[in-house]
Amino acid sequence: MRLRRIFFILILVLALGAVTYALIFDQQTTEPVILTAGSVEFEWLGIMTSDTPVVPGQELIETTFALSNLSTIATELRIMLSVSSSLLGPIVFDDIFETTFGTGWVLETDGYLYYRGVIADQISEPGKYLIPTGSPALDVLSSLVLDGTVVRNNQSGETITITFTFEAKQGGYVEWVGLGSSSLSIDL
Amino acid sequence: MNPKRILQLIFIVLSAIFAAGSLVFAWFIVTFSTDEIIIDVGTLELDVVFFQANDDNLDGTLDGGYTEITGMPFTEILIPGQVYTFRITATNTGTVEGNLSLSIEDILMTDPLYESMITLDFLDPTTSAPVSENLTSGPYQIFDEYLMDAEEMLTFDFTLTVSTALTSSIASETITFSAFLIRLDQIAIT
Repeated sequence: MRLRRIFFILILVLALGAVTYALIFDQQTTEPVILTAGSVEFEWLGIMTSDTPVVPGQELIETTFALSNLSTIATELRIMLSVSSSLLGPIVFDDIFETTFGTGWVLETDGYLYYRGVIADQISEPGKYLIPTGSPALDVLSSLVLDGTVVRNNQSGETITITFTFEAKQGGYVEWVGLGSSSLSIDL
Repeated sequence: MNPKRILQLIFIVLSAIFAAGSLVFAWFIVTFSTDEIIIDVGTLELDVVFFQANDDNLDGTLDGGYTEITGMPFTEILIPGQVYTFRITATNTGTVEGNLSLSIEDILMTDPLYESMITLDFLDPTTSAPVSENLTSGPYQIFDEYLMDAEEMLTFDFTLTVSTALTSSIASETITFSAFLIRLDQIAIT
């Protein structure tokens, strides 16, 4: 009888111990963390004249060249404008064209056209303007005219190619990265 | 009725009454001879709060203060070089000490290129050693067996750093940390 009681108490203690062990923990979880790589995407819009050949003083742009912002993150933007002639090779853009850029664009001494937005007067430091997502299209170039004081009859038959190379930068701790380029040609 | 038969009946009835009485008596004897058994069960309860450090430009240099993340999944659009700084506070509100562990339940990547793009940095509370790990898919144990006293609070800071090598090739792809799991277990009795 005594052994039976001891056995009963032992079973009871073991059962309680098992229940206690199974219960004695606690755990919590945080909210999920979801990170998505942003994308920088601009659509290059605009129409060049279809006239050929063209002459100095003629407006070469039919529809203003603009960048439509499809990005999911804010970014800085700059454009390298380069010009080459089938006759003379590379030419400095400013030497041959008279231009009208859209508001907020500043041609810096490094040859890049930076979008400076509302801080366009602060030209001492290139970049530093983040174009927010969902911003309206940015007018880039509304007028492009060959400078008649530079382009002469002896350049007739020459093909001039303008290349726009777009670069973006999302923050102060990354480098400028090429987005793509677009080239246009006109025949004199 | 035969008097002998009557005497037999009386004897049987009396015997039955005595037998029943003995059983009850024996029951009370057993009941009163057993000592009361009292078992106090300690409790382990965990209180957890999840924060993001205030860092407007996400360069890893904190602006000061923390904002609690609650209610909704934490969602962000990544750019190269960003540093996300988080804090988890865990408090043992129970009555006994326990072993604290922290893990990521699951890391889900929609593009395997993420595998070398996100680095987790923290100070291991069990060893006080800095740890830096490139995260891969699947569950990840951040630390375990941190001995936590009753009513102790642990403040655990960690960062997720986006590689500057992140390119547009994984634009719009996602990395999901399904949840950070914080668990406080009873210390095993040896």
